[in-house]
Amino acid sequence: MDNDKLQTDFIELIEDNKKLIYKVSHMYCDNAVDVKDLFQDIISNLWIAYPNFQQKSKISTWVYRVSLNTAITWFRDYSKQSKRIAYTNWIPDMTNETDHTIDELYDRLYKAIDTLGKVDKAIIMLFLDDTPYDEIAEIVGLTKTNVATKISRIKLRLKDFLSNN
Amino acid sequence: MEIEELKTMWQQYDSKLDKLEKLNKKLILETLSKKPQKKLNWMKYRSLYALIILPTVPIIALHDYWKIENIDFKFIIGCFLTLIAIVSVCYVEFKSFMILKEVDVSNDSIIESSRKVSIFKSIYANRLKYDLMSYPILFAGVILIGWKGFSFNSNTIMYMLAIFIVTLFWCIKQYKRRKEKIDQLHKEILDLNEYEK
Repeated sequence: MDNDKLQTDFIELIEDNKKLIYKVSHMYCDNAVDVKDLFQDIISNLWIAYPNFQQKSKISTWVYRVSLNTAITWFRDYSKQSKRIAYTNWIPDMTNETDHTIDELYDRLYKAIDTLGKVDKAIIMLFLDDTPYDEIAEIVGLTKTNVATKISRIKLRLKDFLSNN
Repeated sequence: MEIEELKTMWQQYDSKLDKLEKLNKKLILETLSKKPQKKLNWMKYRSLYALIILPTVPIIALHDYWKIENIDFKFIIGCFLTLIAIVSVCYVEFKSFMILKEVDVSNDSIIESSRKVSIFKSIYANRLKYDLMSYPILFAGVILIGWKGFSFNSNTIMYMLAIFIVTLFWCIKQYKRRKEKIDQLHKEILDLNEYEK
Protein backbone atom coordinates (compact mmCIF):
# COMPACT_ATOMS: atom_id res chain seq x y z
CA MET A 1 0.00 0.00 0.00
CA ASP A 2 1.50 3.38 -0.94
CA ASN A 3 2.13 5.93 1.76
CA ASP A 4 -0.54 8.43 0.64
CA LYS A 5 -3.24 5.76 0.68
CA LEU A 6 -2.01 4.57 4.06
CA GLN A 7 -2.18 8.09 5.47
CA THR A 8 -5.66 8.74 4.03
CA ASP A 9 -6.96 5.48 5.48
CA PHE A 10 -5.31 6.20 8.81
CA ILE A 11 -6.79 9.69 9.08
CA GLU A 12 -10.19 8.21 8.34
CA LEU A 13 -9.62 5.63 11.07
CA ILE A 14 -8.70 8.35 13.57
CA GLU A 15 -11.72 10.42 12.60
CA ASP A 16 -14.01 7.39 13.04
CA ASN A 17 -12.50 6.50 16.40
CA LYS A 18 -11.69 9.90 17.89
CA LYS A 19 -14.48 9.58 20.48
CA LEU A 20 -13.00 6.34 21.73
CA ILE A 21 -9.47 7.78 21.88
CA TYR A 22 -10.75 10.85 23.66
CA LYS A 23 -12.64 8.78 26.22
CA VAL A 24 -9.54 6.69 26.99
CA SER A 25 -7.37 9.83 27.29
CA HIS A 26 -9.89 11.49 29.58
CA MET A 27 -10.31 8.35 31.66
CA TYR A 28 -6.60 8.00 32.45
CA CYS A 29 -5.66 11.69 32.87
CA ASP A 30 -6.89 14.20 35.37
CA ASN A 31 -6.19 17.45 33.53
CA ALA A 32 -6.68 18.88 30.04
CA VAL A 33 -2.94 19.22 29.38
CA ASP A 34 -2.30 15.53 30.01
CA VAL A 35 -5.41 14.54 28.03
CA LYS A 36 -3.97 16.34 24.99
CA ASP A 37 -0.55 14.77 25.44
CA LEU A 38 -1.95 11.29 25.82
CA PHE A 39 -4.30 11.77 22.85
CA GLN A 40 -1.29 12.68 20.73
CA ASP A 41 0.75 9.70 21.97
CA ILE A 42 -2.13 7.33 21.18
CA ILE A 43 -2.25 8.68 17.61
CA SER A 44 1.53 8.19 17.29
CA ASN A 45 1.33 4.61 18.55
CA LEU A 46 -1.62 3.81 16.29
CA TRP A 47 0.31 5.18 13.32
CA ILE A 48 3.40 3.08 14.15
CA ALA A 49 1.31 -0.08 14.57
CA TYR A 50 -1.11 0.58 11.69
CA PRO A 51 0.97 -0.94 8.81
CA ASN A 52 1.19 -4.20 10.80
CA PHE A 53 -2.48 -4.36 11.71
CA GLN A 54 -3.52 -7.76 10.40
CA GLN A 55 -7.32 -7.38 10.58
CA LYS A 56 -7.48 -10.45 12.83
CA SER A 57 -9.72 -8.52 15.18
CA LYS A 58 -12.25 -5.74 14.64
CA ILE A 59 -10.66 -2.36 14.00
CA SER A 60 -12.36 -0.85 17.07
CA THR A 61 -10.98 -3.71 19.22
CA TRP A 62 -7.50 -2.97 17.94
CA VAL A 63 -7.90 0.80 18.49
CA TYR A 64 -9.11 0.12 22.04
CA ARG A 65 -6.17 -2.17 22.70
CA VAL A 66 -3.55 0.31 21.46
CA SER A 67 -5.25 3.26 23.18
CA LEU A 68 -5.63 1.51 26.53
CA ASN A 69 -2.11 0.08 26.41
CA THR A 70 -0.71 3.51 25.59
CA ALA A 71 -2.63 5.00 28.51
CA ILE A 72 -1.39 2.30 30.88
CA THR A 73 2.24 2.52 29.77
CA TRP A 74 2.13 6.31 29.57
CA PHE A 75 4.58 8.30 31.65
CA ARG A 76 3.96 11.98 32.02
CA ASP A 77 6.69 14.16 30.57
CA TYR A 78 6.22 17.77 31.50
CA SER A 79 9.31 18.90 29.57
CA LYS A 80 7.58 17.99 26.31
CA GLN A 81 4.68 20.42 26.66
CA SER A 82 5.95 22.93 24.09
CA LYS A 83 5.93 20.22 21.41
CA ARG A 84 2.21 19.56 21.81
CA ILE A 85 0.32 19.73 18.53
CA ALA A 86 -2.64 22.10 18.32
CA TYR A 87 -5.10 19.76 16.60
CA THR A 88 -6.25 18.59 19.99
CA ASN A 89 -7.77 22.04 20.60
CA TRP A 90 -11.07 20.53 19.50
CA ILE A 91 -11.15 18.55 22.76
CA PRO A 92 -14.13 19.91 24.65
CA ASP A 93 -13.66 21.54 27.99
CA MET A 94 -16.34 19.94 30.11
CA THR A 95 -16.13 22.65 32.73
CA ASN A 96 -17.46 25.29 30.30
CA GLU A 97 -20.79 23.63 29.90
CA THR A 98 -23.83 25.73 30.65
CA ASP A 99 -25.68 22.87 32.26
CA HIS A 100 -23.97 22.57 35.62
CA THR A 101 -26.14 19.66 36.73
CA ILE A 102 -24.77 17.58 33.89
CA ASP A 103 -21.25 18.74 34.77
CA GLU A 104 -21.70 17.54 38.31
CA LEU A 105 -22.97 14.19 37.10
CA TYR A 106 -19.98 13.74 34.76
CA ASP A 107 -17.77 14.74 37.61
CA ARG A 108 -19.31 12.07 39.84
CA LEU A 109 -19.08 9.54 37.07
CA TYR A 110 -15.36 10.15 36.57
CA LYS A 111 -14.70 10.33 40.29
CA ALA A 112 -16.37 6.96 40.75
CA ILE A 113 -14.44 5.37 37.90
CA ASP A 114 -11.24 7.00 39.11
CA THR A 115 -11.42 4.97 42.33
CA LEU A 116 -10.80 1.82 40.27
CA GLY A 117 -7.46 0.32 39.32
CA LYS A 118 -6.00 0.65 35.80
CA VAL A 119 -7.36 -2.69 34.56
CA ASP A 120 -10.79 -2.27 36.18
CA LYS A 121 -11.06 1.17 34.57
CA ALA A 122 -10.48 -0.38 31.16
CA ILE A 123 -13.03 -3.14 31.83
CA ILE A 124 -15.79 -0.78 32.99
CA MET A 125 -15.14 1.62 30.11
CA LEU A 126 -15.47 -1.19 27.59
CA PHE A 127 -18.61 -2.40 29.39
CA LEU A 128 -20.19 1.06 29.39
CA ASP A 129 -19.38 1.34 25.70
CA ASP A 130 -21.43 -1.83 25.13
CA THR A 131 -18.44 -3.88 23.99
CA PRO A 132 -19.34 -7.60 23.92
CA TYR A 133 -17.83 -9.70 26.71
CA ASP A 134 -15.68 -11.78 24.35
CA GLU A 135 -14.13 -8.60 22.93
CA ILE A 136 -13.48 -7.25 26.43
CA ALA A 137 -11.83 -10.58 27.24
CA GLU A 138 -9.64 -10.33 24.13
CA ILE A 139 -8.54 -6.75 24.87
CA VAL A 140 -7.96 -7.22 28.58
CA GLY A 141 -6.47 -10.72 28.43
CA LEU A 142 -9.02 -12.56 30.59
CA THR A 143 -11.49 -15.33 29.96
CA LYS A 144 -15.11 -14.41 29.21
CA THR A 145 -16.22 -15.85 32.55
CA ASN A 146 -13.57 -13.86 34.37
CA VAL A 147 -14.75 -10.69 32.64
CA ALA A 148 -18.32 -11.30 33.78
CA THR A 149 -17.16 -11.82 37.37
CA LYS A 150 -14.98 -8.73 37.26
CA ILE A 151 -17.80 -6.60 35.88
CA SER A 152 -20.17 -7.67 38.67
CA ARG A 153 -17.52 -6.79 41.28
CA ILE A 154 -16.76 -3.44 39.66
CA LYS A 155 -20.49 -2.65 39.50
CA LEU A 156 -20.77 -3.33 43.22
CA ARG A 157 -17.75 -1.13 43.99
CA LEU A 158 -19.14 1.70 41.87
CA LYS A 159 -22.60 1.35 43.37
CA ASP A 160 -21.06 1.46 46.81
CA PHE A 161 -19.01 4.55 45.99
CA LEU A 162 -21.90 6.37 44.37
CA SER A 163 -24.31 5.68 47.22
CA ASN A 164 -21.74 6.81 49.80
CA ASN A 165 -20.79 9.98 47.96
CA MET B 1 -27.22 6.31 41.81
CA GLU B 2 -27.70 2.86 40.29
CA ILE B 3 -25.44 1.26 37.74
CA GLU B 4 -28.12 1.65 35.05
CA GLU B 5 -28.11 5.39 35.64
CA LEU B 6 -24.36 5.31 35.23
CA LYS B 7 -24.77 3.59 31.89
CA THR B 8 -27.36 6.12 30.76
CA MET B 9 -25.05 8.92 31.78
CA TRP B 10 -22.20 7.34 29.86
CA GLN B 11 -24.40 7.14 26.78
CA GLN B 12 -25.29 10.83 27.19
CA TYR B 13 -21.61 11.61 27.43
CA ASP B 14 -21.01 9.55 24.30
CA SER B 15 -23.65 11.43 22.32
CA LYS B 16 -22.19 14.69 23.55
CA LEU B 17 -18.87 13.64 22.07
CA ASP B 18 -20.61 13.22 18.70
CA LYS B 19 -20.50 16.97 18.46
CA LEU B 20 -16.70 16.99 18.43
CA GLU B 21 -15.16 19.01 15.65
CA LYS B 22 -13.46 17.29 12.75
CA LEU B 23 -9.77 16.77 13.36
CA ASN B 24 -7.40 18.93 11.37
CA LYS B 25 -5.95 16.53 8.79
CA LYS B 26 -2.99 18.76 7.99
CA LEU B 27 -1.92 18.79 11.62
CA ILE B 28 -2.34 15.03 11.99
CA LEU B 29 -0.11 14.51 8.95
CA GLU B 30 2.41 16.84 10.53
CA THR B 31 2.45 14.65 13.64
CA LEU B 32 2.84 11.48 11.60
CA SER B 33 5.84 12.85 9.75
CA LYS B 34 7.64 13.50 13.03
CA LYS B 35 9.47 10.82 14.92
CA PRO B 36 7.50 10.04 18.05
CA GLN B 37 9.36 11.25 21.11
CA LYS B 38 7.71 9.20 23.72
CA LYS B 39 8.67 9.03 27.32
CA LEU B 40 8.62 5.23 27.14
CA ASN B 41 11.29 5.26 24.41
CA TRP B 42 13.35 7.72 26.38
CA MET B 43 13.19 5.55 29.51
CA LYS B 44 14.10 2.47 27.51
CA TYR B 45 17.15 4.08 25.97
CA ARG B 46 18.11 5.80 29.21
CA SER B 47 18.61 2.31 30.69
CA LEU B 48 20.70 1.36 27.67
CA TYR B 49 22.84 4.52 27.97
CA ALA B 50 23.35 3.75 31.65
CA LEU B 51 24.58 0.28 30.70
CA ILE B 52 27.26 1.87 28.52
CA ILE B 53 28.06 4.87 30.69
CA LEU B 54 28.34 3.08 34.05
CA PRO B 55 31.43 1.02 33.18
CA THR B 56 32.89 3.78 30.96
CA VAL B 57 32.95 6.55 33.58
CA PRO B 58 35.18 4.74 36.14
CA ILE B 59 37.52 3.60 33.35
CA ILE B 60 37.94 7.20 32.12
CA ALA B 61 37.97 8.76 35.60
CA LEU B 62 40.61 6.33 36.87
CA HIS B 63 42.62 6.12 33.63
CA ASP B 64 45.67 7.66 35.32
CA TYR B 65 45.87 4.69 37.66
CA TRP B 66 45.63 1.98 35.01
CA LYS B 67 49.37 1.37 34.95
CA ILE B 68 51.31 -1.87 35.32
CA GLU B 69 53.44 -0.45 38.16
CA ASN B 70 50.25 0.30 40.14
CA ILE B 71 49.05 -3.30 40.10
CA ASP B 72 49.29 -4.74 43.56
CA PHE B 73 46.97 -6.53 45.99
CA LYS B 74 45.03 -3.32 46.88
CA PHE B 75 44.60 -2.45 43.19
CA ILE B 76 43.23 -5.91 42.35
CA ILE B 77 40.81 -5.83 45.30
CA GLY B 78 39.78 -2.30 44.25
CA CYS B 79 39.09 -3.44 40.68
CA PHE B 80 37.13 -6.40 41.98
CA LEU B 81 34.97 -4.24 44.29
CA THR B 82 34.38 -1.62 41.57
CA LEU B 83 33.40 -4.37 39.15
CA ILE B 84 30.93 -5.87 41.65
CA ALA B 85 29.31 -2.45 42.18
CA ILE B 86 29.11 -1.69 38.46
CA VAL B 87 27.76 -5.13 37.58
CA SER B 88 25.03 -4.94 40.23
CA VAL B 89 23.87 -1.49 39.02
CA CYS B 90 24.14 -2.56 35.36
CA TYR B 91 22.02 -5.62 36.16
CA VAL B 92 19.20 -3.38 37.41
CA GLU B 93 19.49 -1.16 34.33
CA PHE B 94 19.49 -4.24 32.11
CA LYS B 95 16.35 -5.55 33.82
CA SER B 96 14.63 -2.15 33.27
CA PHE B 97 15.64 -2.14 29.61
CA MET B 98 14.45 -5.70 28.99
CA ILE B 99 11.05 -5.14 30.59
CA LEU B 100 10.47 -1.92 28.61
CA LYS B 101 11.68 -3.58 25.42
CA GLU B 102 8.93 -6.16 25.79
CA VAL B 103 6.13 -3.58 25.94
CA ASP B 104 4.08 -3.94 22.76
CA VAL B 105 1.06 -1.63 22.78
CA SER B 106 -0.53 -3.16 19.72
CA ASN B 107 -0.42 -6.80 20.79
CA ASP B 108 -0.20 -6.94 24.58
CA SER B 109 -3.34 -7.42 26.60
CA ILE B 110 -4.18 -4.75 29.18
CA ILE B 111 -3.14 -7.07 32.01
CA GLU B 112 0.22 -7.80 30.36
CA SER B 113 0.89 -4.09 29.86
CA SER B 114 -0.10 -3.26 33.42
CA ARG B 115 2.12 -5.98 34.77
CA LYS B 116 5.13 -4.84 32.72
CA VAL B 117 4.63 -1.22 33.80
CA SER B 118 4.26 -2.18 37.45
CA ILE B 119 7.38 -4.36 37.33
CA PHE B 120 9.34 -1.60 35.60
CA LYS B 121 8.19 1.04 38.11
CA SER B 122 9.02 -1.30 40.95
CA ILE B 123 12.54 -1.94 39.58
CA TYR B 124 12.98 1.78 39.02
CA ALA B 125 11.80 2.70 42.51
CA ASN B 126 13.89 -0.08 44.05
CA ARG B 127 17.02 1.05 42.21
CA LEU B 128 18.00 3.25 45.13
CA LYS B 129 18.22 0.16 47.33
CA TYR B 130 20.75 -1.36 44.93
CA ASP B 131 22.56 1.99 44.72
CA LEU B 132 22.70 2.08 48.52
CA MET B 133 24.19 -1.39 48.66
CA SER B 134 26.69 -0.89 45.87
CA TYR B 135 27.72 2.67 46.74
CA PRO B 136 30.03 1.84 49.72
CA ILE B 137 31.55 -1.02 47.66
CA LEU B 138 32.20 1.34 44.73
CA PHE B 139 33.59 4.00 47.05
CA ALA B 140 36.00 1.52 48.66
CA GLY B 141 36.94 0.10 45.25
CA VAL B 142 37.79 3.51 43.79
CA ILE B 143 39.93 4.40 46.82
CA LEU B 144 41.83 1.11 46.55
CA ILE B 145 42.41 1.55 42.80
CA GLY B 146 43.80 5.03 43.31
CA TRP B 147 45.55 4.16 46.57
CA LYS B 148 49.02 4.99 45.28
CA GLY B 149 47.88 8.28 43.81
CA PHE B 150 46.00 9.57 46.83
CA SER B 151 47.81 11.55 49.45
CA PHE B 152 46.11 10.62 52.68
CA ASN B 153 46.09 13.48 55.14
CA SER B 154 43.40 14.69 57.55
CA ASN B 155 41.96 17.07 54.91
CA THR B 156 41.51 14.48 52.15
CA ILE B 157 40.17 11.91 54.59
CA MET B 158 37.64 14.40 55.99
CA TYR B 159 36.67 15.46 52.48
CA MET B 160 36.10 11.88 51.27
CA LEU B 161 34.24 10.96 54.44
CA ALA B 162 31.97 14.00 54.06
CA ILE B 163 31.16 13.12 50.42
CA PHE B 164 30.47 9.52 51.41
CA ILE B 165 28.19 10.37 54.35
CA VAL B 166 26.23 13.10 52.54
CA THR B 167 25.62 10.91 49.48
CA LEU B 168 24.67 7.92 51.59
CA PHE B 169 22.19 9.95 53.67
CA TRP B 170 20.70 11.46 50.52
CA CYS B 171 20.17 7.95 49.08
CA ILE B 172 18.60 6.70 52.33
CA LYS B 173 16.27 9.71 52.46
CA GLN B 174 15.20 9.26 48.85
CA TYR B 175 14.61 5.56 49.41
CA LYS B 176 12.42 6.21 52.46
CA ARG B 177 10.39 8.67 50.41
CA ARG B 178 9.81 6.05 47.74
CA LYS B 179 9.15 3.18 50.12
CA GLU B 180 5.38 3.71 50.22
CA LYS B 181 5.25 3.79 46.43
CA ILE B 182 7.32 0.61 46.20
CA ASP B 183 4.94 -1.21 48.56
CA GLN B 184 1.99 0.03 46.54
CA LEU B 185 3.59 -1.25 43.33
CA HIS B 186 4.21 -4.66 44.83
CA LYS B 187 0.57 -4.76 45.86
CA GLU B 188 -0.40 -3.81 42.31
CA ILE B 189 1.64 -6.70 40.89
CA LEU B 190 -0.02 -9.13 43.31
CA ASP B 191 -3.45 -7.74 42.37
CA LEU B 192 -2.67 -8.31 38.70
CA ASN B 193 -1.81 -11.93 39.41
CA GLU B 194 -5.20 -12.25 41.10
CA TYR B 195 -6.92 -11.24 37.84
CA GLU B 196 -5.94 -14.44 36.13
CA LYS B 197 -7.07 -16.73 38.93
